[in-house]
Amino acid sequence: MRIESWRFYQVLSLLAAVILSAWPLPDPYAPWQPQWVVMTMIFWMIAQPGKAGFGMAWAAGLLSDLVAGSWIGIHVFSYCLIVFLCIRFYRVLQLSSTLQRLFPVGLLLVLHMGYLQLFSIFLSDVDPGLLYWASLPVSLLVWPALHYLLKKIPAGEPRTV
Amino acid sequence: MLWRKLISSLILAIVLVSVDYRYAVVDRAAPLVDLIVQPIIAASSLPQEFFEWVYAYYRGIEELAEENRVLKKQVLEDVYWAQSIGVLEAENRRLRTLAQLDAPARSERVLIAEVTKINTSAFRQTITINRGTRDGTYVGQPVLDERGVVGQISATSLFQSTVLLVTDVSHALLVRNTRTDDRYLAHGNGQGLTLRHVPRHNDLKPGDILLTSGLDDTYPEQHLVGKVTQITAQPGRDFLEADVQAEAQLHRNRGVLLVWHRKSAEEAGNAD
Repeated sequence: MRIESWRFYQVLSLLAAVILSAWPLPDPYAPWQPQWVVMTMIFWMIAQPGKAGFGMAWAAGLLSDLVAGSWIGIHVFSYCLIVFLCIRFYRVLQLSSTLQRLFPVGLLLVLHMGYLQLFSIFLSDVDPGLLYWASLPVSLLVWPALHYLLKKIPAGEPRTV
Repeated sequence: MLWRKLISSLILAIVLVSVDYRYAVVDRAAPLVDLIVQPIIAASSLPQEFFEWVYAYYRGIEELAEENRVLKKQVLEDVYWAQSIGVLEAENRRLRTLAQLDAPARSERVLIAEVTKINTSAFRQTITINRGTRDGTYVGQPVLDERGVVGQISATSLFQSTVLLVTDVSHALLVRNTRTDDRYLAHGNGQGLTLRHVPRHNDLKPGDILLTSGLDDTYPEQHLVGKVTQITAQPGRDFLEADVQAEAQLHRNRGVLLVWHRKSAEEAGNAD
């Protein structure tokens, strides 16, 4: 069985994203950790629409759950929702420039983080506080660079539909 | 088709969360989960280790000499305290024999462990240390640092262990107020600790210092847990709630102390 090259790079980049988000930042900087996994997923949804999908969301979600130590399924839920929105509104994502994409990407990040915060408040009775959202601006700053880097890899070039 | 995929995925995810929430599936399968998670965590701490190595290499001699001087002074102070503790302990034992009380449980062995990862997400407050069953660690083992109680080991594999911090929401321990000798149950709340259900007329003040009580079989007696920072009385509630700030340096530890505490060690032995 031949593994398609884009699939290989996809798995590799997501694994790298999970490893990056597990990077132990010293305490005061911990909330500033960008949302690597979500952004990498969004990139693949733009680069390979119709190919990347729920399978990716499940794999990345389960791995994120295990690494974050959250109840299993929590990240899966959010990632599935993000993948769905990316497929549903792929034109918005595809037809805009890298900078214009900041807006929909930001919206998806807000959705993801807000959802995680709600879960944390309901299930573990902990409000992560305002500083929790520090991750959002950092992610948006990192997004163009991440997009640029991922586009450099052979399979990352967006296909024209 | 797309909708169907989404709905089935979401339902399956919710089922997973509820099953795990109810039956702690992941916690039970900890050794298996470690197999997947540990390499990722090891990979993620590689850059930091590299930078630390470089930093240590290029650090000036003067800086090291200065650090050496400070540490020597610290050792002198510690030796002084250690000597007085020896005397006090002997006296305490004599008095306890006179009062026909059992000698307090003593910790038999300690081991220094290095913190390899700090995980302070809202869901779980844990640190990972570089000691495992190879060094004789066991689940429920108390972990301290130079200031106070850090937490207890919640999962242990061959080379690494996960320490549940006292501030984790699923953690609680029995503490004693040094000023009044009252006992309280201190729950973790994600940021610090909370004493729930403190009676309204209880003599508890901000600034009170809480030690481990030794009543739970996990923690050795007389170790610093934290300081009461704020007491809140909510109208309509019968009880007060007190916030406690943990004394141990929970999020910036480099080294922690593993304690083989007699009571909890025996229990772990019995459980095998």
